[in-house]
Amino acid sequence: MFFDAYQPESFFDEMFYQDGSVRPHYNGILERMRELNTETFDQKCQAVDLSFLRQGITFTVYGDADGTEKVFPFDLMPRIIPSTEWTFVERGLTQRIEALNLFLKDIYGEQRIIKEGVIPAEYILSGKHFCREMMGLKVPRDIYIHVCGTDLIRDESGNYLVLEDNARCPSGVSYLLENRQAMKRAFPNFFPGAGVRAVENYPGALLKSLQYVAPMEKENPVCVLLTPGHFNSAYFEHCFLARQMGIEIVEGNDLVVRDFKVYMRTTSGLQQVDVIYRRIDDDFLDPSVFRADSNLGVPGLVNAIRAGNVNIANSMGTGIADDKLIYAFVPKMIQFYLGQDPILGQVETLFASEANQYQHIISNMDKLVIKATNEAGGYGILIGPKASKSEIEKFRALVKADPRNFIAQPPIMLSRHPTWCGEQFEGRHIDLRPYILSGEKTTIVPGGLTRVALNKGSLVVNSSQGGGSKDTWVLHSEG
Amino acid sequence: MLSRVADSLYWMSRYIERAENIARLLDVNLQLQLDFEELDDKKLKAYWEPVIRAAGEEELFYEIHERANSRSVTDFLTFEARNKSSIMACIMAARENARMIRDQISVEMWECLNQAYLFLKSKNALNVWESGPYEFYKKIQDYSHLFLGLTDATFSHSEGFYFMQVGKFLERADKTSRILDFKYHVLLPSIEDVGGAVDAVQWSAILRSCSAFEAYHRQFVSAVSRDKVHEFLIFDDHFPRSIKSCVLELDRNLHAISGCPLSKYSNQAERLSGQILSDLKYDSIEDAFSFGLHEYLGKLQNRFIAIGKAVYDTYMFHPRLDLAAEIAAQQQQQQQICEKPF
Amino acid sequence: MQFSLRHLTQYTYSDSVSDSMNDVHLCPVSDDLQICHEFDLRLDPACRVIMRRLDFYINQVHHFEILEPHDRLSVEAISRVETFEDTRDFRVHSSPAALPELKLSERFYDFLSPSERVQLLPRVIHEIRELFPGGLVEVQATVLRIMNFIYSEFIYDTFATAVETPFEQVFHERKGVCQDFAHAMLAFCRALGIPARYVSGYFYLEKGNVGTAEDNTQSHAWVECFLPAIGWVGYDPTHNRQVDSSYVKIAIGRDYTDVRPLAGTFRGRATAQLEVSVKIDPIVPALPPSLG
Repeated sequence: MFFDAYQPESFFDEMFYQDGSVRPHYNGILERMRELNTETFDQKCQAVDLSFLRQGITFTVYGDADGTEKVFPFDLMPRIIPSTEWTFVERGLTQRIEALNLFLKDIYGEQRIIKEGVIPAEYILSGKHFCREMMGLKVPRDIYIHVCGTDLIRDESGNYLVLEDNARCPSGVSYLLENRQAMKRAFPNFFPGAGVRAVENYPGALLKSLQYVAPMEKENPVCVLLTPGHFNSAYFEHCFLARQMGIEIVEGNDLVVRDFKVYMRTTSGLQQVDVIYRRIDDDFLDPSVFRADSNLGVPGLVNAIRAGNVNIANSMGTGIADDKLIYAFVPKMIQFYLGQDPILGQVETLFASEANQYQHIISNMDKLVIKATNEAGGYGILIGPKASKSEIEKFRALVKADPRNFIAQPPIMLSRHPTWCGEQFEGRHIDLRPYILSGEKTTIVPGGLTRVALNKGSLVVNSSQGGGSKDTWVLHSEG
Repeated sequence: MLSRVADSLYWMSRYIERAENIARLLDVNLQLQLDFEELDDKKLKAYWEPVIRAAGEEELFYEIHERANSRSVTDFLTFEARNKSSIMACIMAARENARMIRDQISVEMWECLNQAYLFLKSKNALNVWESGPYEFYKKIQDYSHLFLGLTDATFSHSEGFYFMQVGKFLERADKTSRILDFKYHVLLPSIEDVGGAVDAVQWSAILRSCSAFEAYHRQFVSAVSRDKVHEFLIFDDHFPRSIKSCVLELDRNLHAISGCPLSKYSNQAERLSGQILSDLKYDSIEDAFSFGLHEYLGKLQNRFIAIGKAVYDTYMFHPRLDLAAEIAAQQQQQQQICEKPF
Repeated sequence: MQFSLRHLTQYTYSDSVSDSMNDVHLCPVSDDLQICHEFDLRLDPACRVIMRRLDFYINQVHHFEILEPHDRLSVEAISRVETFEDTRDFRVHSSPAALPELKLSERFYDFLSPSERVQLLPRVIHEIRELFPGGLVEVQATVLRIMNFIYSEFIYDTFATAVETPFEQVFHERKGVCQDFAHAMLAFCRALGIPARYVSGYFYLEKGNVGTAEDNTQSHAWVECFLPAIGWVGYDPTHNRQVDSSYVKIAIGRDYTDVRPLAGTFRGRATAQLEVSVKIDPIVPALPPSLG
């Protein structure tokens, strides 16, 4: 009864074929859903929301004087990925992260990729997040991006495409883990026999990755999580991860640098710290090197890193790897460093900074997606076909003023997924953010965070702009 | 354990204890008021003003409210977030401290505080309060007791727990002394009333403010009197809210943190708590009377403040600077002036 | 020539400060035109470890931290440097044809782009067009012309600007010191597509020559331009002369910000007073006794 009126329309629908028949890996869940009625489904939705609120699984809305905490909306209809499809994605992501780590090692070292003319020097040196302080700095095990959140979308034919790599401080992984918990509570009888791969080992895998990159391959290193503090919108996640890993969560003021070593203040004196999983941006890390007005960071930290007495994850300067201009070169990087063809496709990208592409962008803004190269969280984006005249004019002026800061992409109709809209299921656009850990080996939690644009027709999935999320099931089998 | 975490545990515990005490104090006073006939504005003011004074927020109160009466005072001490001693402010502060150390406490403890907070913030809270303050204040006390129980049952009894206990007992000892002292400010209709019926009712209210009414009567079959109430709430060995039992627990937990044997001390906080404890052990109620009750309680309160400071200095303090000063100093991060070439 | 150099930086704080973390660019470079024979950094209060590293532009950086409370800080850099005559042939034609592709190289990109203190203001572009209506013909001549223009157009005035005066103001008011002259020249060169970088160092002016009052007792700044077919060549717009062996180079960067002699942070509420003294002494080779 739930899906009687459901229309896949002209989009790629994750659950249904164009003719309305269900894809085989969704058969099981469809059967289960049919056992429910609207009322019980609604009750479950409310129970889950309430439990998130009770547990304080919330994010803080910035600019709200009351410090309002909101629940990240959760949709109870899971997104399902069959086994071979996932294996393919996993291979593609592994290849990509390897190339990105090699790229960072190269540009903060020999710069072969520039010297051999693969990427123009200009694009790297003009990057807002290219960190000149990192030049020549060796990082343990040559790993720069320890945690990467790569956003994947599926186009009209269902091909997985990389939309962007979040190589700085990707967040959201706690929602992935909490979503699974919520699903298990709401539908305990869905799971036995469904063959869903577990996601619960993420914190353990993260801790292993952190320990693996300890300075001088130290054994049993002391790891901590550095948070900007409890006012940060992702504070819940910081606590959640620290608790799951069993490590201390520290603020800048808890750490001090003495003789190029980092210590935390404890009730029994100073204790040395080896690895810092930092959830604050480069700019705020060390006021003695970057922003002197920041009191979130630890003065002297950068030189402690230079001295090789402490390591941080992710390394400084990884932001250049998720610069949207550099993104366009990732396929070339894969060729250059690994000698392989890229497994995952990505979205064709035009540069406003290139004279021949600039004109095309300026005169076709209503047909393109325009993105600022260094923004995250869904900010600094213009979706031409959906934008008003005045928005387009505003962006045109921005692009003209600073072409380096903008790229353009053809709009991709993200795939859709049945999503509960209060009374019935309707198709809503989704993406997928898998979390990739680089350590002794590359580890990817099966699936990732599926984000869904809850507003009808919207393509923006960010939590700050009307997005919600779903549990993501990777099956042991083809379903 | 991180010093900041110890600090937050300590304050989380103190604030929830404080909220409970305010709830009890207000509850009892509201009930007590029912026993009086014909309270005019003036009498109401005289009745409620000490309560505000005890909270030390007189000035703020008169900024917000014109008159001190049951409604304005209870509202001020319950919901007014600007008043740092209101239940709302205490629960918010307890939750804020808990939020800072969420990874350190149990999920149950966090959810309990979060629920108390959500309840206070909800419209429902006001409805419950309007329809009967008793139910409302009962609920606040229940949250506090639930929190105590959950802490006991879900939180490791190790260093962090001891810091929480120190916070709780220090707060409780202090509040019991203030509730006793509170009676000192309450005016009786006339001097003849001392020892009379009104006086007895008021002393009973003091006992109830400390949840001590039943325990007291098991101890003393006699009627409620000023002397006996003091003896009970200061010197009783077993009642968990008497100052002496609180200090006993405080001392025990302070020693548990450092691992120092009870008979010795290893820092200033332990030395001070040991001193108070020994005074309470060897003083009698007669000593308190001859010293002056109000003065005796005042002296205790000052010593509790000194212990709080000593705990801070010992465990949250670091070589060179204390945490607060260091945070302030960090905000004073400055750039060196640079040389100008010519 | 050989020089003995002493660069003393002294801070006096109104109150005690701590956790002072500093980077210094005070050690002269060694390259084809000079050798730094000796360098010593003396700190008071003393510091246990001084960390040395090379920065993005291969300058020597010394990092030191003074954590305990102090109310004054003195940093004394002492060096002995030998400079050589530049023997390159400056008569060759330096063609602008080679310039456009330099921007593609990681070695030149930073010195062709605007930076924090060198902005390509509309007025810069406008003046460049007026100065070179026919465009760029020969690079060396162009650079000399720019230097000359700045020397005659800008007034040397030690009170007009402070160390952090924004470029736009300097450029508008046309007054300043060597740092400001250098930034202005960098802007013109970069606007024309000639790689140009900021140089910090010392300049020794022999007695009897005309110069500024601050000579030989202050640190100095000038620029280096990249001339195709020749290489990086130093120009001093403050004195309108090409750099020679009376100049000692410490560090290069995009602008002043990259090569501040001493930069850092400390904690404390104090206000600071800075006093700098520089002493540049030529080491005269002892004459053989028989000639004495």
